[in-house]
Amino acid sequence: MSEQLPAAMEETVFRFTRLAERAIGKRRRRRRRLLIASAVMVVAAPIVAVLAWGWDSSRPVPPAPVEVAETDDGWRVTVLDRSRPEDVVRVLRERGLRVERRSGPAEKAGLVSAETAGAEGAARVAEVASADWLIVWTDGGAGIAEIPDLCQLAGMSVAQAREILAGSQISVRDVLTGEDLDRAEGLKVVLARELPGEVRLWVGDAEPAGC
Amino acid sequence: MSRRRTDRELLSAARDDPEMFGEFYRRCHDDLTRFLHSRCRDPEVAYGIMQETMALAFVAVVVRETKVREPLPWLFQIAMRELRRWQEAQYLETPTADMLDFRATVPDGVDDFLRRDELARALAELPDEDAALVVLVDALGYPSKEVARAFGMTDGQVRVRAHRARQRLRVALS
Repeated sequence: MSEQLPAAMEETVFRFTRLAERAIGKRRRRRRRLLIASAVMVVAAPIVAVLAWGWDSSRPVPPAPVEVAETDDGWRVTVLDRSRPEDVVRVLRERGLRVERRSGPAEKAGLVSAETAGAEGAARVAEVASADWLIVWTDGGAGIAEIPDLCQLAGMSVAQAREILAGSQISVRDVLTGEDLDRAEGLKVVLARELPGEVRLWVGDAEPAGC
Repeated sequence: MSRRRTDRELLSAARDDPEMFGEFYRRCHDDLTRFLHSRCRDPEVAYGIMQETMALAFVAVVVRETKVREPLPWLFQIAMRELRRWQEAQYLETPTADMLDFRATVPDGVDDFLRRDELARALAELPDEDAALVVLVDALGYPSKEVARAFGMTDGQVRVRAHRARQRLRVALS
């Protein structure tokens, strides 16, 4: 074989190597960018979700007409609500309720705060377990999915809530299916539990049931 | 001393190691060029098709990360396809090699290198596929099963056709 052929071959090998370096480098950079983008998404998604949630919850909500029965002095009250904690506390105090100060971020408001009675509220059941009262309410726009959470927060099952309401004018089934939710806009659903034992439940302006 | 990598290992590594495809090219260069020259009898065409074949293989393996099970049979199939294209058009087209900016002119010496090869001349008398089978199985030592998979034949068909091709080569060389 002459000298030129191996030289040409090596030249092509060199060219292939340079091309491969470029192709592989390009692919690695693209993968790295994808990886970084994925990582950013993973980190950013919850932040965006929280911000969006916060934005939603920051919309002005009419002050809750607190249709809460008066409590005896000395009862500790814990509230979870969509309303602004300050408004709730103010109304509660106007009605003579003694609001227990609790530690944590909502201490200033004297509340265990929860933006909704959904998953976060449910997660706070343990936190409020020591309270004498657990009062939960939501507006008429409450999602169907929230109802079981409300019951859970009140320390009862849906069946129990249904049973308690059996003697009242309110049908739990209606609430649970959401049939009443739209036309009952602004209706306040209050589920409350008195510890130990007796369960009381108010819905809107209805008389306390199960007393 | 490190073990010599198989062709498949080379191509597999070529997806991440820039040196590997060049190594594969070195290994295939002579056999592929001889094979192509045996088919077309034109050094320039043989060299051009070889470059185009390797350029296509490069794009498939390094750029598109294609997994190749039997590298040489696969390469020969690409070469035969390009050869057929040339036979139909009687005009050498090397778009992929051009795209990669490869040297298009045949290096000096390739002519002598190819003309010296009597076996290549004898191979030229065989049909393309038979010649490829002989080169792959007998010259390059590829297992007939792998060649059969790559060419869509049974193992028996590859053995029989390679055997008959060998007999014809023997006659041609005697």
